Amino acid sequence: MDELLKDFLTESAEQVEAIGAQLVRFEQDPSDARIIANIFRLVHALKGTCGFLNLPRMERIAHRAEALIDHLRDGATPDGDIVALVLAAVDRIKLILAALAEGRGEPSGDDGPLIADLQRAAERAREVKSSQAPAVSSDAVNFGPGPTPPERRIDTVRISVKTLERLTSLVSELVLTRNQLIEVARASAAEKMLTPLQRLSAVTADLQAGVFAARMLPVERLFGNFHRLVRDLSTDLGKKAELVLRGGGAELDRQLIEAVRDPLMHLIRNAVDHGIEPPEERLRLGKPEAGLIQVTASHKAGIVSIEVADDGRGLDVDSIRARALALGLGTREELAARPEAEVLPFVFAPGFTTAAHMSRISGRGVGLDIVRANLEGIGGSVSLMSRSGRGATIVLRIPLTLAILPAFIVTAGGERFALPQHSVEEILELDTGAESALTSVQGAAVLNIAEGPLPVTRLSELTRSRTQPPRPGPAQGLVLKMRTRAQGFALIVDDIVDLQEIVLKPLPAPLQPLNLFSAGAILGDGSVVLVLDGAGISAALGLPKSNAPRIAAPAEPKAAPVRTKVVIFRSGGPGLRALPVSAVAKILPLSPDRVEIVDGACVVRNEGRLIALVRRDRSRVTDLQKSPTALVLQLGEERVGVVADEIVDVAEEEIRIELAGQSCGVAGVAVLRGEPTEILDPACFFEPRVRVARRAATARAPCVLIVEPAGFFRQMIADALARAGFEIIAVGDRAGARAAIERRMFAAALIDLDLAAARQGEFARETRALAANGAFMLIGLAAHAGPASQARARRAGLSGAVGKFDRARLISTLRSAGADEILEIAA
Amino acid sequence: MTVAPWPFPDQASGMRAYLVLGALDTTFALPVAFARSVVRIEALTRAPLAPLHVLGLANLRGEIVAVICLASRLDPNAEPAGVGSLAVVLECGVETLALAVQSIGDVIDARDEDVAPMQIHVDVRRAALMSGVLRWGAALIPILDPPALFNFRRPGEAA
Repeated sequence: MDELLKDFLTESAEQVEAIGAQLVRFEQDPSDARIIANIFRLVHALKGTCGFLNLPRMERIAHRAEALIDHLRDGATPDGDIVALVLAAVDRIKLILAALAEGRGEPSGDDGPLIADLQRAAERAREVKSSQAPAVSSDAVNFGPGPTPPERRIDTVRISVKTLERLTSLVSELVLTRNQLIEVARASAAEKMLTPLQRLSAVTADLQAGVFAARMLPVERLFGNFHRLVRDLSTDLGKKAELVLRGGGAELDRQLIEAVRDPLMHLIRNAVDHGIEPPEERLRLGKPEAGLIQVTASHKAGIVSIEVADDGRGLDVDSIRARALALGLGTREELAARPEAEVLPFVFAPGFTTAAHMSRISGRGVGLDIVRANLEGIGGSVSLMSRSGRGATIVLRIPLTLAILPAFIVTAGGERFALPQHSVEEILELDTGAESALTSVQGAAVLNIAEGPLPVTRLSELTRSRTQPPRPGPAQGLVLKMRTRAQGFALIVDDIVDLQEIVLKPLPAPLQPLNLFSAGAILGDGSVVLVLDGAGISAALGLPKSNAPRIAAPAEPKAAPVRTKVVIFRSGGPGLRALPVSAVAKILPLSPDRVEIVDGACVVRNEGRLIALVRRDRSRVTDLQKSPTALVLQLGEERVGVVADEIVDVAEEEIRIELAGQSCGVAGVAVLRGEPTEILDPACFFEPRVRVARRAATARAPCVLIVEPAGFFRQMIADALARAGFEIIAVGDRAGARAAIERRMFAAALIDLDLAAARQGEFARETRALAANGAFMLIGLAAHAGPASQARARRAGLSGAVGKFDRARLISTLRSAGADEILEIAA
Repeated sequence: MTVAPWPFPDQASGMRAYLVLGALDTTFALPVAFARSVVRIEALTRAPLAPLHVLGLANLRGEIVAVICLASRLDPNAEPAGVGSLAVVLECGVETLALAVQSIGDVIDARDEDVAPMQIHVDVRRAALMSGVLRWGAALIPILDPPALFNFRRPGEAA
């Protein structure tokens, strides 16, 4: 195809979409002269290009549409018919464009009736206009192709997607090569290489950021035809709906834009079709006649959220219960006992809604399983909130980019595999002793943990070829708790050796039938690893592919002899926590609409007061992902809400502290209901916080220095700590660290253990010498903070080591160092 | 898997180029049009659960390719090749694969009329991997058919 025509097609596809969207906006607000001027300009440009490229059919339609729009521009009132007519012309142009794109040339066809209609409408509009009193002064609305605006310098260049993909893949290669070079340089300790390598590293990082930025498109691209969609649907259904789009400036990788387009359209269609009530019903209910659908995009911490909210009737929870019962997702009693928040997710179950049941449960389940599957396929998630009679909100959460993702490099049976970080929920040490949670049921391995038995398998067994003898697993290992859809399972690996950003590459054809792997990747040392697929592992375990939520057995009431009444709950991380009931003023269910973000932290409004939400390690909650409940503690006038992911039980137990608490806030560990449980000290949630609050104006967040050569880790740790309220200075090497320490004081430094251990701990000595105050806590960052790493850290003159991806430990360790500083300042 | 079109002979001369290679102490011919380069396998990542003749995955200048052992492909009981062996990098449709062999010989030009169909009594499973026999002087050299060679079946499926 002719290059010129190709450019025309790309450009006009965008123009035509824009015309449709603008027109619908104009219909809603005819007073906005800028909109119609825009439309006129677009149609005029389209017509001009048609003439240039000799596309007479399209030119005729564009010309007639332009004439009609011209009258609107001159002040004629747009009625629904005119708008519908111009939309019909737009559709016809789209048809012709589609034929052109297939290389068939301009197709023949009879546009006579359409052109006649356009002409008649134009005449009618002219008459109406001339009969009107002097309309708006024509000068005021003359935005037409009048005097040419001063020539603008062209500051954008159109490039093909193919070129962009090629650039992305080349940059990915460059990143890998850079990583290889770094490993070589580390091994050979060639000083001469370091400076150019650092520059290469910096340039590569910038280039990578640049190319990834070039791949980003504003979410607005998705919004293009939504106005049209809502207009057409509501006209068809005899409803009135207004669409408000916000946050179109948020950016997403172009690949992801395409991936969420269909799910979003689906949700909007659902909102109009099933959410928004007919006008008469709305009026009867005291709602505005036109329903409101709001699509809001926002970007936060590497995730773009797109929210589709309507003010319609919401989901009918009773119908969902009935449908769940019919599908055998639970017994009547179990379903009735489930709170609404737990019933709603059933609509994401496959086959949950069939056409027959669609309208009865307000139809919101139609294809929602597909929406969820699409989102999960790109590493995103979807959640749903609904208030009966007040509307429903569905939130899509999408990662910013697909091409590179962090993955654990795990070993099993002497081989390495990559496991995407997002598929791992939790990492537990495998203890094969007598108290081990790893047991077997009828010969099948089961991980018996608090939330119930989980099927478990050894990766080395999954990857063992049939000709190899079974390999007994090592006594030590790590258990990775994983989840695909609603199904949890666990995978035992020998070790996690690294967390790397990997570039996913398609599997060679001979391996594609293997479900266990989803892709391949090349590591920093140039070796190839296979990327494990969570769904494949779950299938290998024989777990059902269905994502139907399972009904958990109701917790059995406890009838043990008693001493203290405690609330047992889960909150961030493995294991159970407990708080004495006497300290808990109330248990507050959290719903996203009750939680507000004030000063960067989540607060919940209750009885006219704001209650700050904290995690059990006392860190402020900045982003409420799940945590459906807050335990409100009260001390004098102060109140604080400790978020709990799940309330496990309220029980009266004899509490015998068996281990003294190591970290702040933990009174000790006791065995409750046969499981070790952290008994939290309610007082700890107040002490420092109260003081900090009093001295908020003067107290500064503790500053932490991060010295980590790997850019990704550096960024990851810095982000995590910044979110936890620390002030962060992150550098990549000793020189950077020196400069930073000379400039300011730090409460603590996190240093890559390899870097710190080099040359018998020279780095630690130098750092301590440079730091003016003695109370400078040095902590090693290890890939995995086992006993060996701890010993190595101490040999290197550090206080200890923390796992690089053990975010909670990092924060709690620093908090114990940082809290002191805050108190010092406060005192 | 996409099957690559069989390369057309050079219309003018009616000649076609073949790469001669060895496996199982036998000589084979491979149409040069499929071959991209010859490499030595330096590192190999085993591909669990893959068929025996898939030796594993290798990094070929940033591209992940499957390494197929010609000997194992022809005879499941043969000693598989490993790290250090030579491999011909082949482009077969959209896929790039490496074929590990025992030895690599010359490129020879042969006339199309020197290609005879595969002999009828040759083991069916082997014959399916070859497109014919090249009469080269006194020798008869089986011609490998890359698309058939890489046609992957799921484990357990009949070969």
